[in-house]
Amino acid sequence: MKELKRQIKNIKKVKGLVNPDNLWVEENKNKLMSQIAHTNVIQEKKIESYSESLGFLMRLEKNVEAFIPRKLKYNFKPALIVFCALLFTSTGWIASAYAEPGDMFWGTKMAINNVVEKSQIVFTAEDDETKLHLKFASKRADVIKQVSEKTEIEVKKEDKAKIINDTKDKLKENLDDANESLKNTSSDKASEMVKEISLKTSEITKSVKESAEKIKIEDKELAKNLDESVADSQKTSLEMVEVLLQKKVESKKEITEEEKNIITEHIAVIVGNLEDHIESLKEENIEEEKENLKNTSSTIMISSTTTSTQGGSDLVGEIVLNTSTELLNIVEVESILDENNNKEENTEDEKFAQGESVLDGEIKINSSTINIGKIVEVKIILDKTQEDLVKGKDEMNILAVDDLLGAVQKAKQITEDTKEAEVQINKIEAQNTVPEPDNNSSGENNVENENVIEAQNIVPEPVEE
Amino acid sequence: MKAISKYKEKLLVHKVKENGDKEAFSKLYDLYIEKIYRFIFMKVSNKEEAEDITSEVFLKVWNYLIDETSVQKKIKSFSGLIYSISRNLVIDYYRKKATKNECILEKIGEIEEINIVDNKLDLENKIDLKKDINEIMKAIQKLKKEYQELVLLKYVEELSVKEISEITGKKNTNIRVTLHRALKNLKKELEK
Repeated sequence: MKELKRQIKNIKKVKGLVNPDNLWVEENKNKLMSQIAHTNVIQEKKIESYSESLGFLMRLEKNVEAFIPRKLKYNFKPALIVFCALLFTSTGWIASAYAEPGDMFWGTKMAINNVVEKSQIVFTAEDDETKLHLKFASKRADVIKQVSEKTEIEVKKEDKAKIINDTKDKLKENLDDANESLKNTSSDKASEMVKEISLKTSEITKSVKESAEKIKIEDKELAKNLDESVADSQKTSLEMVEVLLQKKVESKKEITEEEKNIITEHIAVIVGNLEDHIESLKEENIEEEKENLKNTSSTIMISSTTTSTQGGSDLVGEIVLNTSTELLNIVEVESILDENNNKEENTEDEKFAQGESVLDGEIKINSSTINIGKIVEVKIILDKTQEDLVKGKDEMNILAVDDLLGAVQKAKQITEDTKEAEVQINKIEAQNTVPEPDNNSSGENNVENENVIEAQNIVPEPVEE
Repeated sequence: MKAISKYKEKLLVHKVKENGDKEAFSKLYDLYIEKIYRFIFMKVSNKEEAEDITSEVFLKVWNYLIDETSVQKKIKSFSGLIYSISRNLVIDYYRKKATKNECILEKIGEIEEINIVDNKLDLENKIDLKKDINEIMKAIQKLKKEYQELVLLKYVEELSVKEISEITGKKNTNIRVTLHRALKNLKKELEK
């Protein structure tokens, strides 16, 4: 039978007979192709519109469709969709699990982390929540540290700032949550956590502070933000220690020597940090002062020329002031314009409109002078804060011997005072910022500095016909 | 290899269906022209008629594939489709002949000019092969049309039972039994 089958197969090998003529095959092909060339294919347009509107995915689906049995396609479509969704999600999750700051999947990792953390909190006992929040805060501090160590090649500057700022906000949230849950923790449980919490919070503060110092060289603004974060962490950590000590008193448990040492060291570190911070602000202030003195032109010149077509007077007034720190009260600018000129001023708008007179004026108030004023003011505040801080520190050290809670409260007060001083400094800096005089502006918007407005009122901009 | 060529074929059909791809159709033509010609020739036993019907088959297949209503339909197997169209056209052909009372050439006749494609064979083998083929062709001609078709599809075109089932519309077991009988009969004819 096998032989017979083999013999039947041989029929194919015979040219002619049952097989077509090669020449005919070719001719027929050409004929067929020319026939079908004139066929209108509606599908061509259809696929074009598909490719335009639905793009690659649609075409891919269409091509894959060719290989999926129709029955299977309809019966298993929902299962296929679920499978694909799971596949994409798990792939994203796996990819994000190993993502580092600045990576494409970093955002996904953070989003997944948030969900995981929230679910973890839900399933955790109330008394253990504080620890969990602190654990998350610690993670955030690590992230900040990790990112601050990255070079600009690894993570772009703007990405770095974004990640750090976002993480910093999250850190604050975590610490606040930890503080809040600590308040709700039972006294017995809380009193057991004194050591752990004190160590953890001081670790977090230390880590963020180090990051701020690292980042200072490349991004001052970001370092400033991190400094704020350090201050917040310190404040929260002190609050937490205070709560812990209160709980300890409530539960009538004695503070062990070890706990006492940890807390004393913790508050000493915080106050030490504040001292360093104030010191660095002072140094910055001195640097700024020096810089300004170098750049300050030693004159404030007010030059005003008034020309009248009606044969009015020509007047040039000039005030020359030596710039030095003592001459900061030079806001009193003497008007040297005479009465005639003042009269002309009242009607100057009318005269300009008639083309009768041209008033040419120029005022230059060097902003450096105002900067010096600002620097001095800041310097005074910093000196006072430093003085208070030293006093407070001494008091705190005395209290630490007998009254640990009092010492913590004192440290908290010092932190608050320092923060307040910083707020004041920021306010001064913001208030004294002199906007660059705009030649085209009428002066209405420059409300910041009264001197400028006044000067502009006296000598208005010339109007060109 | 067979599986790969099957997928390649499916992709070509898909291209024709979705895009009206003439290039893809030309490739399908190359794949099937000989098979279809042989299939038709075995049924009509006339070269010219076989050529005409084969041309018509391909044109019909093209029209079927690009037809908007057929685009919605899923083609299970292209071979099933093309052989079915061929079968129907052959039936039409016989119907026309019957109405015209024309004599149908049933015999293929002796192979006078044999041209064996296999270059490895020597002259002696070629003569043997010629003899064998002549005998087989005569024996096949004597078989029932049903047997002829199945023998051709199974042993010449080397289609699977499943594919033959799609073409003929018969059940797999039925095909297997019929094939067995066909071979038995063929053997008997050859032994005569």
